[in-house]
Amino acid sequence: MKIFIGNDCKCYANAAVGRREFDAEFFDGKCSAFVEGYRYVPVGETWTRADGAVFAGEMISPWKDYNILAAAQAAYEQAQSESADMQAALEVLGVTNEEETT
Amino acid sequence: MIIPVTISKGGSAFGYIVANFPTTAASCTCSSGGTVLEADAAGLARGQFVFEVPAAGTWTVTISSGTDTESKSVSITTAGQAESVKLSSSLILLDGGDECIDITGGWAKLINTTATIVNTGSALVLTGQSANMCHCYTVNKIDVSGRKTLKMHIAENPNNINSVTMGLKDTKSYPDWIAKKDIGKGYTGDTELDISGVTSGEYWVGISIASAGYPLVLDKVELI
Repeated sequence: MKIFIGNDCKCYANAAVGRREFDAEFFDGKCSAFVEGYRYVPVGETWTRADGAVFAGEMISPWKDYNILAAAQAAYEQAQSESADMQAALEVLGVTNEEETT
Repeated sequence: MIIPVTISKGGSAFGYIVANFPTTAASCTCSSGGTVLEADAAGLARGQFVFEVPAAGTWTVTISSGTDTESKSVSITTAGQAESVKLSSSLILLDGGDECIDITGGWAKLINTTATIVNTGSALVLTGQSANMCHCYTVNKIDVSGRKTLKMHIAENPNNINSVTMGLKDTKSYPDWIAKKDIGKGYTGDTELDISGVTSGEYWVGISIASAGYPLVLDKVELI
């Protein structure tokens, strides 16, 4: 999955000025809220924590409380599952998705 | 009830206690009875402070970091006596051949493959077998509450090992990690992973390697 990082190595789901693009399998299937709670330090680079500790890449770790990120991802997966169930039910009923037929 | 009395460093020292501690410690005190001496900011940043104790007795040096505290007692009996004390707020999970079983439950393959883990008495030797990676993790999930860093020491890491990844896991699925760090080919020495965002919870702690018969030697793992 493509991610974008700012100067502080925080991850973003979308591109913007000053953000660099990377491909990270770690984030495959993850929702944007989950991605944007993580920090990605590319290989060959370092990031310095507020207490002065220096970490070398490649490193992927949450900067936001992981419990919140896990809850967001679980809610996203639940919504994805319900959406798939709804789609299957509509297909059984013969209801077509107009967006897909146009 | 102890009433803290802060005494700044002065010229009336009876003895000296040299406290060595991690630079991550938020405070370091030296106390006896109602007297409490405090390390200054420079000492905390340096990870070392010399307490000039004003009287003989048993002095307790305490460091704190977040909700964690650790104390050690030092006896000063004669004038001019100097003692050194080392405190570590880290949680040791592997120390040489000591697998710290009380905490970890031992170290074993998290995912069952033909890879091997051998405790030589001074370290763990991890060896993958062709397509079978070696996933060496604590048997117990470890409470990481209040910890900010996962630190490992790699003693041997041949260039032939394709990948070495340390981290926290919540499932027995590869390649799912909560937090991870890829360690370079051939790298030996200390390596650290930031886990400050994992504020609570219990996870398997360990390392996964992909190698075809080449051993990686791991001799220290700690949570700081």
